[in-house]
Amino acid sequence: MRSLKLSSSKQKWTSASGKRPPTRAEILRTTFLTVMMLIILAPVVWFVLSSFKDITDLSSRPPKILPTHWAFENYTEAFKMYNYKQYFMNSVFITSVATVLTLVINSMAAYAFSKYNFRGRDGLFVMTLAMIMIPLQVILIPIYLVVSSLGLVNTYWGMIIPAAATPTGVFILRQYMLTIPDELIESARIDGAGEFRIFARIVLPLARPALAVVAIFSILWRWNDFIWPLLIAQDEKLYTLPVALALLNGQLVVPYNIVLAMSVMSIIPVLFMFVFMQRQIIQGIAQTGLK
Amino acid sequence: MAIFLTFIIWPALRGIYISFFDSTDGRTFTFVGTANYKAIIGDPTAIEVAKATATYVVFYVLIATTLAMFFAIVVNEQKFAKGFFRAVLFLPVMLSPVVVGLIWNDVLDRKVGPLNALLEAVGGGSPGWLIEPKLGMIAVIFVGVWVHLGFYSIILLAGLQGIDRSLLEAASMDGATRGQIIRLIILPLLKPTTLVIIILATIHGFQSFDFIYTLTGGGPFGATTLIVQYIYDHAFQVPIQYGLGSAAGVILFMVIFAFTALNFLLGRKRDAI
Amino acid sequence: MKMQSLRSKIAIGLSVVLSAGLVATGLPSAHADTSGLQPTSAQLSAWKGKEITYYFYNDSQAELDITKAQIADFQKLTGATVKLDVIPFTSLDTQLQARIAAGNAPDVARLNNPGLYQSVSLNLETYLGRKYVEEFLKGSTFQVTDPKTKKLIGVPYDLSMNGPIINVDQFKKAGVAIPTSWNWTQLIAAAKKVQAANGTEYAFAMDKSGHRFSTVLSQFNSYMVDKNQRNVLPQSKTRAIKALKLITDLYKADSAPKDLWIGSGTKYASPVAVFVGQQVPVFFSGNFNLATLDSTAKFNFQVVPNPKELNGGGWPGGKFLTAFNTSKTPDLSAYFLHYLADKAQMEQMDKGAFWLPTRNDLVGSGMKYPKRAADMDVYLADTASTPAAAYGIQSVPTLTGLIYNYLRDLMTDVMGGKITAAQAIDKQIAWIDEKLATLKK
Repeated sequence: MRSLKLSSSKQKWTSASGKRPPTRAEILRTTFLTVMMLIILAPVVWFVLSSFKDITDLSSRPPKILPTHWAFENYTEAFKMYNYKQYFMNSVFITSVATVLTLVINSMAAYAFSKYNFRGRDGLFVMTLAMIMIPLQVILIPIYLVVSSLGLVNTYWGMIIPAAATPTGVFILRQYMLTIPDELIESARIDGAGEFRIFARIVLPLARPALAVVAIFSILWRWNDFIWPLLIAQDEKLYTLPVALALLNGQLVVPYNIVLAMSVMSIIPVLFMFVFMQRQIIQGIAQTGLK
Repeated sequence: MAIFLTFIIWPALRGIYISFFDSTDGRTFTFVGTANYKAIIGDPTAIEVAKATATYVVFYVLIATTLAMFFAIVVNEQKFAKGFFRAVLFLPVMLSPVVVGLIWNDVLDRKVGPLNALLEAVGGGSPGWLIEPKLGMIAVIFVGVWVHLGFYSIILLAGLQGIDRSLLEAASMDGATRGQIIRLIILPLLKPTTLVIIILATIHGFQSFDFIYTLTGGGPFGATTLIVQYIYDHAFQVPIQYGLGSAAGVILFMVIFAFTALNFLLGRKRDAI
Repeated sequence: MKMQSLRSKIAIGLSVVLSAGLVATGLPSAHADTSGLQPTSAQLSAWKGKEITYYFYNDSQAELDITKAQIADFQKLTGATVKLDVIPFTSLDTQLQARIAAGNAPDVARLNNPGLYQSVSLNLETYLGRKYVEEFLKGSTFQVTDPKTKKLIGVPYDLSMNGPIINVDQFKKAGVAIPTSWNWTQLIAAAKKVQAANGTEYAFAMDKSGHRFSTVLSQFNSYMVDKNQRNVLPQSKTRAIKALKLITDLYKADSAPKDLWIGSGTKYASPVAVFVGQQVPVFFSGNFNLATLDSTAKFNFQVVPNPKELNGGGWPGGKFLTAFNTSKTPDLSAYFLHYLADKAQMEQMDKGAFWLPTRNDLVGSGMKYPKRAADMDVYLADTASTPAAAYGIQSVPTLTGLIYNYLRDLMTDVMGGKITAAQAIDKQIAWIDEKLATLKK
């Protein structure tokens, strides 16, 4: 391997544990990655630290890295002004139901696109692809008109159902299902398995990595959505965390230090999920191969 | 499928239909033919917006895909703390756009932001990242890349792991340099994945809106007003010109569609997708 | 000592000034009759169990708390339910447009741009009588009167007055006397002196708003639209340029927070955090910010009179209540609006959230604010000395907000050196002409 050749250079770094000294390539790589990680992490860390600063610290110049006094009151104030528990539960509910629904709908559509030959299939698929490209802002009012004529405004379903139609999910699943050998499905048919049985017993288990990816993206998308829920959730009881945050940020008089605290509170659940699930997330993505 | 029809296709078709009407309130519509399209073409702001969008998309796609590729290759070879690096890379992807905007507003502040404090400490002055048009564009491109880099890298990483290691080892035995291995083996094998990344990045680039809106509000002096904000401003901000907003939406859709179709066709020619 | 004498002076002067102001704007002094507006028992039984939606935004936590309490009382009173939808100010019009488009309009709304919703507003005269409008200060109802049909589409809820707020501690530390009257040159000199003595980041800050800047225009005796819907900016062009240059130069020189103004694109931005963080001694804002400052500022601050050039006084604005004609229970909606804007409720809101009354009876009896009375007196005095011409722009209610926003964006361009102050005023003139022409169609 190339790295072995490089290790013959003059560099002689010995680690304290007395293991094999790292090669120059390894040092370069680790240094490079560490610097890049700092660029990625530092702003987030800075932001979290800022949320513990009072308004005087926030406007001090040059900026202070650590707060002169840890303003936990930013958080207690934020808790007082906003019903965090309620918003959190709404976020969890909407995210999970929408994700389940997304998986069901998208996997069926993807199955049809990848394994059935019906007229206009390719046309429909291109249309699905095209739908990925429509920015929400463009069709916001027409969608709103549809949702409201169905009487779904100001309901959980109004936030969940339109969101479940995510063309990106269909795209990812379809790409993956193309790799499932047709022979498998054919032989199941010959054995007399029904279409739904084939789908549920053969296709879905095989598509598990792709489903995991779609599930993860769906969770991320739904958790962070705010433009749509802001429009649909008219009642405070229906607010999700990002909606409450957008509200807080949009109210021009909410003190900035409290906005910061609320922002951090809104990303904590995501960070938790991330810390505990990052392996699954990344392996899931890795396994789909997304080719 | 009914859900797709109801919540995406029907609204989209309606959007196209509305683009031929004039409406100041979303309730009453007057047919105006192609007047909205003509108005956009004749609008000097729209030209600025088109230029800004083009600049943003070109740089965003170039930088994001190149960096993601670089990252993926480096992380793939990394042994020490590989999982950690992968994880951190993915972190910004998970943040909501509002939070992203707030974070960078804080970091890039000309006076109390840590970046300028750092620059001042090394004698780099204190540039107005969010108040000078060129710097504003650089800032939003940078933040756009910051947000999505992890997403693209992870997908590429997946592609890399799919490459047969014995192939690389054989090449290395034959005395190929690292550069040669990357250029002649890895990159060609990654082409399909790269295409997916380029398609996604192009779409993301054209659709960028919410974090920019929180970060710069389209400023300074309109320098970061991209097409989606133009649409949003016309459709939702007073004076409301809903038909005009829809027309701009249709134009955006056609542009993205053309780009994607091009990518797709190029890809298909090489059996990529 | 100084404070004391100032207060007594204002107290003595106030009644005189106020009545003079009322005469100046031609306000009726008699209170309108409201006795006919108690709900009948038939109405009460019809309203029982009905629900209406109140579309609301707030400038301070106090406003929200008071509103919730008032709704609870209203529900007891009528047996109806009021659903309170709190909307962020930044998406107030966006969301309302979408709801109206979908035939899903609220019943009652608190708005700052009621002219936009003329065509879907409930004509209040039908439910509250022709005399109802006379309960309110005359100048304050322009924006809720349909210029064509003269129908009443809403009521003024807060008069809203602009003016400077200063950091008293910083003024004292700098040894600069608290101003009782000043002009712009003196204001800027004082602000810079206080800035230097305290080492603050800025000397002066203004809300990013064409409405706030119109105050300065008025002080230089420059106006954009008169009460006959005519573009009058050309007449005072040189003075307008001077005023625009005065403010934008402060920003250009970094004496005012230009990052906040320019860095927020076309969005509204308020330097309230800069003032609370004690980085600016003079903050040009309005009474609606007092409640927030009162609960967050950890230093002494005070409202001081507007600077006087050719004119003194401030600039009128306002928050309005509107009901919608799509309401299923229009009489209940109208009655709810009436309830909120009624003497007792408005007095409670004015006192708790530092609003300025829009009702003749409250103005006539002289509001006694339990807190910050001296500050509110300054606003009241400035209200009284605001020239009548300042109300002219409200004769074009559908354009008022747009004119302010266009001016605000031109100011941004001037601050960035994209155009000169003179070019900005020329553009503003041309733009107003163009918009007024569309009105005539």
